[in-house]
Amino acid sequence: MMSIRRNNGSALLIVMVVAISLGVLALSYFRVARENRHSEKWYELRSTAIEAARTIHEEAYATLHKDLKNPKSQAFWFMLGAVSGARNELKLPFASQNLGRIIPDGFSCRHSCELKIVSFKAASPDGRPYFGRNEGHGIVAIQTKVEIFGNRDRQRLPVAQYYLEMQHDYLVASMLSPDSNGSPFKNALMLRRQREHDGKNTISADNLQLLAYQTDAPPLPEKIENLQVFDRYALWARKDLTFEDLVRLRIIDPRTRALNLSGINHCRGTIRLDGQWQIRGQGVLIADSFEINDSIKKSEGSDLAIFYARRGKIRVNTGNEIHAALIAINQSGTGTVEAARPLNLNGMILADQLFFQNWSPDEHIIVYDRTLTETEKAYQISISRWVNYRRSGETS
Amino acid sequence: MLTEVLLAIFILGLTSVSAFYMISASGRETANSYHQLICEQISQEVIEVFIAIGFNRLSECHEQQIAGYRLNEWQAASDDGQKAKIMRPDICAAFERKITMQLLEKDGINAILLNVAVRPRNGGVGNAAESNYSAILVEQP
Repeated sequence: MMSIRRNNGSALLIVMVVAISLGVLALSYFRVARENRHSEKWYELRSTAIEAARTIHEEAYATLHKDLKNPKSQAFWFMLGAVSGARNELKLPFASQNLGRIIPDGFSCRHSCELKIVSFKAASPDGRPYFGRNEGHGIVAIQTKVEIFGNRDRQRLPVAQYYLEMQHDYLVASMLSPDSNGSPFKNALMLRRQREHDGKNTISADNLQLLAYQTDAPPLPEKIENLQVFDRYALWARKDLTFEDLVRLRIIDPRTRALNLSGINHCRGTIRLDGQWQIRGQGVLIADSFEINDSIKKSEGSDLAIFYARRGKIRVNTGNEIHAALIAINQSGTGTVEAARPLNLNGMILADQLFFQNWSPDEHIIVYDRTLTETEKAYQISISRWVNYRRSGETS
Repeated sequence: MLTEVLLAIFILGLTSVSAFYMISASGRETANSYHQLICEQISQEVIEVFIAIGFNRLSECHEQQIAGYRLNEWQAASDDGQKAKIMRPDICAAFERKITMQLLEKDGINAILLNVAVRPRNGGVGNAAESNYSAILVEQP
C-alpha cells in the first residue's frame, strides 16, 4: 500500500517538475519575446535617429553655406579668424520645427549641432604666406547629436541615439588679393607695361580722353611691372568652371539678372555679360577674357565685383555704368581693356597696357571705388560641399 | 490515487497547451518581425533612392512617377516598371507601398517630407499591418 502511494507521489512529482520546467521555459520565452519587441523598436528608432541626424546635417550645411555669404552673420564671424578647436553652436529652426514629423508616435527627439574648427592653416601649400590677416584654409566639422526618448519614460533615458560628424574644407580669402602693403588696387588706373601713362589722372590720345578720378591717389608702386594678383591658387573657391557651370551654380543668374558673387571663381573661356546685371555680394570672377555689353551695378555699397582676364582682354561695349574693378594682366604682358563706347566705370583698371586705337573716340571716365581699399571688409569664406571625413555611431 | 492521476493529467495538459501556444506564438512573432524588417527595407529602398536623386531634382519633377516609383498611389514593391533594378527577396512581392511628398519651408530652408507607407497586398501576409516611414530631404546649395 505504501509502495503504490509512493509511486503515485512520484508521478505527481515528475509532473510537477515537468510543469515547473515548462513554466520557466514559458517565462524565459516571454522575456525573449519582450526583448525581441524592444529590439525591433530600437532598430526602427535607430533608423529614425540616423535619418534625423542626416536631416540636421543637411540643414546645418545649407544654413552655413547661406550664412557665410553674409559678413554680418554669426557663422561668418565665428569662422573668420577661428583657431583650431574653436566651437560654435548652430541654431536650426527648421529641424526644431519639423523633426517631429519623422519621429514615431509616443517618442520625442532632442538634438544639437555644433561647428568645430578641426584645423586652420594661414599659408599656401607651397609655403608662401598669406598677407590677409585672416586668410587661409582649414577644415570645419559639423557635429550632430540626436537622442530619442520615450514620452512615458520619466527618467528621460534615450531609447536610441546617434552621432554624426562630417568634415568639410573651407577657405577664407580676401577679394582684394592683399600683399604686404594691403590692397594692391590703390589707383583708379594702373598699367604694368606702359610707364609713360602711369600716375596721370588724364590720358589723352587721338580724339579720346581717359579721365581717372580719385580723391587721394597714392603713388604707384615702383615694381608695378611685377605686380601679381590672385596668385595664391589655394584660395580660389572653384577652378576650371565653364560659363554654364556659373549659371548652374547661380553665380550668374539670368533669371534674376544678378551676379551672386562670393569668393574667387575661375572659369575657362570668355564670360560674356549681355543685358543689365546687378551685383550681389563680394567676389572675383577669373576668366580668359570678358565682354561686357551693358550696365553692371551694385545692389549695396559694400558689394564688390572684380573681373580678371588672365589670357585675353576685357572689352566694354557699353556707355552705361559699370561698378567693377577690371583686371587684364598676363605673363606675356598683353592684357588690356578696350572701350568701344564712352567708358563709365566706377572701380578701377589694372592692365598691362591700353591700346587706344581700339577705344572709341570719346571721353572715358573712371571713378575710383573706395571699397577697393577696405581689405578687412573684403573677406569671403567658402565651404566645400564635399565631405572629406565622416564619423558616425552611437556616441561621440 | 485517481485524483492524483487526474491532477497530474490536468497540470500536464495545461502546461502542454501553454507550450503549444508558446511555440505557435513564437512562430507568429518571428514571422511578424521578419515582415516588419521587410517593410522597413522596402521603405528604406525608396528613401535612399530619393535621397540620391536629391531635393533639387525632386522639387522640379511634376510627374506622377519618379525613377519608376509612382507617387500618391499604391504600387507593388516588386513592380517591374521601376527603373532601378534592385534585387529583392521574393517576399517583397507580397507588399505594396505608397509614396507621398510634401514641401516644407522654414526661414528660407526648403525641404521635402517623404513618406512611404507599406502594407501587405490584399491583406495577405500574416498579421502585418500598414507601416509608415518618413524622411526629410533638405535643399542643398
